[in-house]
Amino acid sequence: MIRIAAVGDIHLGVDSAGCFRGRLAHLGSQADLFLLAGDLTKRGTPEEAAVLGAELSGLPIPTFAVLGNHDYESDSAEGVVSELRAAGIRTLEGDSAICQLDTCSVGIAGVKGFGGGFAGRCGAAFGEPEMKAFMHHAQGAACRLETALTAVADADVCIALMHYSPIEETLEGEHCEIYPFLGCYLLAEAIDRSNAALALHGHAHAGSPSGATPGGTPVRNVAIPVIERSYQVFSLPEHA
Amino acid sequence: MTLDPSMPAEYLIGHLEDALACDPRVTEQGLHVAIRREPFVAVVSGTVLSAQHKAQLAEVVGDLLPDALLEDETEVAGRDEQIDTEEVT
Repeated sequence: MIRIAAVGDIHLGVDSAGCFRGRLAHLGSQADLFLLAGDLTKRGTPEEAAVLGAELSGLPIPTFAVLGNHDYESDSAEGVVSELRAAGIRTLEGDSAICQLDTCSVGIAGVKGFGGGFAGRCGAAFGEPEMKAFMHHAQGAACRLETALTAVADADVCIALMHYSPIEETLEGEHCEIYPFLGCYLLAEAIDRSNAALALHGHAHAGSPSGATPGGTPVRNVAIPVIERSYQVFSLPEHA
Repeated sequence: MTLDPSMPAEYLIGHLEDALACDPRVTEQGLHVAIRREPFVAVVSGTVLSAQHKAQLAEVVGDLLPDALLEDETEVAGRDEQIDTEEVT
């Protein structure tokens, strides 16, 4: 079995220095891989990015991240990526990585994702340029996720890592009126076209921990208010 | 482009509703689609603004799901319209 630790929405700020790292003390003995599901900072400022990098540097297991909407707030997302890179963490946005563990390979495909909604209640790229841009961003994210998943299809185990949700089920608990801002069914469709064994997301703080895509891929919401711990560990067969 | 009829109904519904909203033959934002299997039927409901839209939604659905039967439950707005006056006091 492989053990995947994951968390999203840690929202580190400048006042978080020294607060999160201690919570990862046992990470190396509990998991083989660590995945961060976005919203790693409060506002994505360079100062917060520096704190994030310091808190996550030198982790004992391979670590990959996607960014969340909060990480874009200060228009300095590249700075967040840069600090993560310096800390040894690769950020995925429409791309993928294969992590070779002792007994198997794990492919991780990552994308922030976006809103858009779910079948029967979703937006359409029609009308104002702003609405078209909104939906085109959602569609583009799903396309990039599918491309990234295809690129790691040969790995023994494939995982889709997102910030936004691919399904409604893990949003239950949130006000349904805001579902179109919390995720998009197109992400699930991309996952179901792949051989992903697990899909992880954050973003929905009041959502539910678990669900599945229409095609049956397990989906887990790892937003820290949902899992109520510093990270959740998932155990998967080595050849999914 | 046709849709794979074997894909989960959620995705068929999403793509059909998107097409009905964006395809210039229909451009109706408020239509709802349901999918039934055996027989394979796409059910479209809601209100369309013209008889032309109602006729052409069949083309749009047919282009995407040529093997599906269409059950068109849409109504044309104002077909039997009676203009009332509301007295606002």
